[in-house]
Amino acid sequence: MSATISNVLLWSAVFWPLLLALPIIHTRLPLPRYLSLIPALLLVLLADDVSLMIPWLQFGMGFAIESDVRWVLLMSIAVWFVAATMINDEKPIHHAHHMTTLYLLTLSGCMGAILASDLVTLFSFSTLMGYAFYGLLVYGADKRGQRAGRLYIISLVLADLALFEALLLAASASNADLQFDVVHQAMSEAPSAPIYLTMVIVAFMLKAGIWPFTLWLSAAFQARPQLSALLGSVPVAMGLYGMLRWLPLGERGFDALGVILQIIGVLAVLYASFNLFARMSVKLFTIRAAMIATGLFLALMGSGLAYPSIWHEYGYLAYPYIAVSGLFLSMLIVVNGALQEKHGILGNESRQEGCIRVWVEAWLNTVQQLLRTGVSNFHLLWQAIELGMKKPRLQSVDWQRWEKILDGWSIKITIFVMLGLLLTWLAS
Amino acid sequence: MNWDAWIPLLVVASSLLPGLVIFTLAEERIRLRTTLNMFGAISKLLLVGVMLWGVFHGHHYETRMPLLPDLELVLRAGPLALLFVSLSTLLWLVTTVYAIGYLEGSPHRSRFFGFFSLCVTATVGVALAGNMITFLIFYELLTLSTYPLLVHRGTEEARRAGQTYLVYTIIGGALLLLGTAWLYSLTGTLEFTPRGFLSELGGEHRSALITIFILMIAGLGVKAALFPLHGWLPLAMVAPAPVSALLHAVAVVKAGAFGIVRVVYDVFGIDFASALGVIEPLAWLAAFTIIYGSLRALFQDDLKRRLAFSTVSQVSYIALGVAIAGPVATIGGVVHLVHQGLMKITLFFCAGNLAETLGIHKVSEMNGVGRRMPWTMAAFTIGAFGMIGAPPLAGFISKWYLGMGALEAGQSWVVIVLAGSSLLNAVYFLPILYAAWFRKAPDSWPHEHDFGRKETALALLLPPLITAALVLAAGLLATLPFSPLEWAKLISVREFYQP
Amino acid sequence: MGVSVATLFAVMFSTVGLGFQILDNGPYHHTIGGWVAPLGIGLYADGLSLLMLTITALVGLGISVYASAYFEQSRSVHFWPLWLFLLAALNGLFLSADIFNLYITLELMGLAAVALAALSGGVNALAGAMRYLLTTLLGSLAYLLGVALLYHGYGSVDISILAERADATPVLWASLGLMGAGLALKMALFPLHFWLPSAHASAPAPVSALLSALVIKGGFYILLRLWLEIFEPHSSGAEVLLGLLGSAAIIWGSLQALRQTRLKLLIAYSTVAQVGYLFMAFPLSMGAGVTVWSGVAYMALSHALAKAAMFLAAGNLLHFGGHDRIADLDRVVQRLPLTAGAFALAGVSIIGLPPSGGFIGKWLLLQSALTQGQWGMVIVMLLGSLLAAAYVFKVLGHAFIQASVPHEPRAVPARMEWVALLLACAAILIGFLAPILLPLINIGDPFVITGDIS
Repeated sequence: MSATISNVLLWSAVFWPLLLALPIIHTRLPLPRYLSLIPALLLVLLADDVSLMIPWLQFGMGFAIESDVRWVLLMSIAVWFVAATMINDEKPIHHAHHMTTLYLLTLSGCMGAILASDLVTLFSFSTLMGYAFYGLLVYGADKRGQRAGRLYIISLVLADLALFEALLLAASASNADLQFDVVHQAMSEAPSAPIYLTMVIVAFMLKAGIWPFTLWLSAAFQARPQLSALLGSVPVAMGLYGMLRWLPLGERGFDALGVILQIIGVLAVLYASFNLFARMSVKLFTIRAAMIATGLFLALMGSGLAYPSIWHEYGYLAYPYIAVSGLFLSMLIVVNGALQEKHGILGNESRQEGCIRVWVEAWLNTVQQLLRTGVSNFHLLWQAIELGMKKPRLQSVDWQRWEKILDGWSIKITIFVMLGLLLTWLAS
Repeated sequence: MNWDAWIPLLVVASSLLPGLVIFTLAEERIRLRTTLNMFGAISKLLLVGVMLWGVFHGHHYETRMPLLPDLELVLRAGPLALLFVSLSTLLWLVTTVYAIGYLEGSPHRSRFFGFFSLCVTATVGVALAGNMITFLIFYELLTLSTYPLLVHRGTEEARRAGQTYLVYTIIGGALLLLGTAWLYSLTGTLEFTPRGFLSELGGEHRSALITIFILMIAGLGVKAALFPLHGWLPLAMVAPAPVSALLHAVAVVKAGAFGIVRVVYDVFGIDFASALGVIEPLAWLAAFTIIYGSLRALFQDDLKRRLAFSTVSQVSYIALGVAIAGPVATIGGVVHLVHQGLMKITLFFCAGNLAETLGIHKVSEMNGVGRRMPWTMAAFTIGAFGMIGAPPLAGFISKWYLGMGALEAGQSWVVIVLAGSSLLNAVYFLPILYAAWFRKAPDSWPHEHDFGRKETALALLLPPLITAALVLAAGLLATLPFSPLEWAKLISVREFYQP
Repeated sequence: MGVSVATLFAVMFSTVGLGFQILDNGPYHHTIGGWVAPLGIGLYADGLSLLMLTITALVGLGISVYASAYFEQSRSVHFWPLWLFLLAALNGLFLSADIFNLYITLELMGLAAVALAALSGGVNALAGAMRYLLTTLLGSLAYLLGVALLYHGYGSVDISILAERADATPVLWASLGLMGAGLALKMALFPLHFWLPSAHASAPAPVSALLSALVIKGGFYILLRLWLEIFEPHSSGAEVLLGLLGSAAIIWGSLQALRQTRLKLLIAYSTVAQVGYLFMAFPLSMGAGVTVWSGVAYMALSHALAKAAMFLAAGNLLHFGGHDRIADLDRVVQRLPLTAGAFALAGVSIIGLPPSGGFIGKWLLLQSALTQGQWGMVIVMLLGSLLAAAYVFKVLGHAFIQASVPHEPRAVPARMEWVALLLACAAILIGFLAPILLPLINIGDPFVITGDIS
């Protein structure tokens, strides 16, 4: 396929859903959600490996498609397709319209993130994706969905903050050229690498719901079924994908960090497996499966980080891994959801999770309370100072009396004569 | 006839003359007043366009008038001046349209628009000032012309807010005057020169210069709402929405921030100021104000007050960018001058729309308003996300450059401040967005006006949409030749690299 | 009445003519009837006198136009002769070249002023005028004694001759003390300012304007002349006291003004404060003579215009509402916009905000104070500005809001409003005319001390 058409497909995969997201447009087109997937589908199946740079957009946005990425893209399209069918069941009709808008925005963000060829583009589109996904979570949701949304947005905001800082570090290390390989090269040599790595890893653990930050994910699993299909591919898979892109793997060995990651990953897998087999509960199956998949990935990342040679040998497997686990998870969720509906069992969070959640929320409330009292105390103190300074000490002097005193004739004449004498004396 | 010398003066006069005429109009002469307003705004825009084109082709625009035998009034169109004057003119046009719609049927409109025009005259004068004395004169004129706008409603509350405003700004003006007069007595000149004109002064004046710097920054900091001189700003919310919009985005607050930029770059020079050791405290103060403003904003339920504290926080970004001595941070600070103006004015326009159409003044009343007024809330969303610093909006660009500049100058603590501020911004903006879009609307609004099929009057709807589009454009198209970012880069180059 | 206004115009034209004359030829001497000094009466006009004459003519013109609408028939019969008499005395004062002539004109001026102050006829007015009369006579008496001493000591009353002959003797110092005290009393310098508020509060508005704007300047002119020509080279230290009293006047007057609840009293105390500024120049002039005196002259000029505008505006408000309580001004910004604008613009000049004549004067004074390191004076000047801003905006703030007690308004003739506004605009405009006016004031080098090299 010619390079031009491939280029067109490349950017339209990202911007076509964005265009369709405008309510004026998608309300008039038939099957907008499926329509939006077409360029991406064509891209992944037919187009050559191309890369594209749009210099006048923001700092210059770059997109590229290559063989590794195709796996993830294909998986993503499949899951989005399934989710698209599920939205049809939304009633009333304007609900469906709003869901479609949010769906398309999230889709565009997702596409953009997958196809990005530099860090800033990846960051921009994953921000779009994240916030739009929050909209999907929360729109018309019940109490559980809203709670899930709250936890998600907190994780998202914190993660985005950490990523912004990491982005700044990367930019200053690599002289503002933020293509992936350049950044990897630069960060492996930069002195700020440990901070960068920590921030990136924590951020993506929050975003993807990797153990031990799984709180929002398990809450979200109880959300509406139409969405839960997406959960596998959007936040989880994209989180893993992002981690893959951001980490400078294969250049230099970060022993300590790598080992820590391995440990956490293995712990996650163990914890999940243990819980799974100890209490064979269908309801919690999905979340345990997710924990295992992501934990495993984390451990693998850790090894790659610690031993560059391993990365060089087996690193190419990472993308397919993401694709497969995303697909698998989504299927699992959908099946699970269907089963639950059939048997009338609604998923419940585990007791531990409930405790953790309550604890987290209590902690958040305390923080808010502290801030509130702190700020109002400071404010009161400040007002007291202001009042003290402004306090018209002057007004305590009785001006009227002084004027009256000066008014007496004898005083006046005395002052007058004294003035004359003083002037004379001073002049001499 | 040397037009180059007249154009700056004409730019100033293009709002002064219509303003003076508007004062004399009777209340009922709506059409004439609107015509005069629009005529003034558009002619000013055209003149600024001429200046931009001219500067691009190498013209030099400068007006000089003798004020005292050895001191002149100078209006000069340099890059920084043009940046601010373009921002002011563009936003004035938009605000005029908004104000015409907002004050429909209110009393004392002639008086309002007369002072409105005077206010813009003063702002443009501040922008185009070529030396400190001209700056001072227009700065004080700004105080005088904004006071009647503040007390426009004529209530006792307005009078007291105006009184507080005056206490702060007149004292600030006196400090600035003292600093300027003292500086003049030391150096005999007050012209704005890149890199400052104080480098010849020897060490014996060191303490005097430090004191002068503190006086001037204090005087300017009142208008720029630096802690603890920000107290007037939340109280000033008693004014009508167009006034708040103008005050916060364009006129008063920006004039203060612009003044700080001028003083640090063109009076003292960044190297000299660093050598004096006054730049670090300024950075700390700015950082403190950023956090303090955001914290206070968290706990406000009144929408305009929340936005006011947000302004307190955001304008200090400019001061921070200036105080981090480095070319990249300068770009961040200067470009934030434009971006914050655009974003804030969008937010205030939307707040005004909500108040005017539905009687909403508090955040707690905003449930479900996104369904009722989607376009307004869409603009508000763009503004809010810009404030938080989400890409690809304008706010992201400024924060990026500020962060980069901080890292390059070795001031990593600034990055933490930026992060904290973004977090706080998210915490006080996101709940508003959530409530507006995802909560259910109440059965009736506090005070609804019916506009038929449209969500609100056109004159109220278009301005926020225009400015929101500009916010989007300023972020997305930041690398285009005439974007605010490119301009800021030009200014920074001139300040740091050219001999 | 028409005759009076025509007279004012005539005076104005002659002043302008005189201006051209001295612009071309330098300071102008004229001896009346050809009798030369030391016996005859000589007239002398240089830049400073020209400035004073112009102020008088301008403000006088404004006040005349205002008064033609203000007074009803019965009063105006008394007003016009007295006012023209006062005008003649003032003009004579500004042109006198010897100190005895100055005494005569000073006395005439004082008497006319007293009579004008008593014009409204009530008990308060008469009491205030009586107090004013006694004070002014006391002051003139002291001045006369000083004249006598000087004559006795140096054998002449002509100023230029005295300037040559003066030296540092007790005679000189004693006459300085007497004349200084007397003039200070006439100018209402703190703490001898007690007569001013009561005289102004009860006098009709145009008369208050005259008293504050012009009569006080007359006394100041005399003091300035004598100081520059005769006293300054030979005395050392008196100026410190004058400066101190000036500073105290600024603070005291401004604070008192802030406390007032009636508008005319507020403006009167503001005059007390502004007089203080004029006296601050004395200690500052030791270092940078010409700048300081030019600044003071500018302050006198803008104060005259602004104060007259303020009093006329107050008169309008009084006429409009029947009272001048500040708290009850009841939205006059909307109902008397011209008057409110006049008060605002005049206030801007009094505060010293740019761009106005007051700003130019303050700038020059600040410059001198800063170059000489006189920090106390700098602080006092700035404090004075801040306090002035406080009381001006107190009035303006109340002008925007509704009064608690509404009342029936009376229409104000357009003439009265326009005069107030035009005078206030003039106060602002001269802020832009400094490059023209300053050289004009300095024609004839009135500020260069004779016998002094600096």
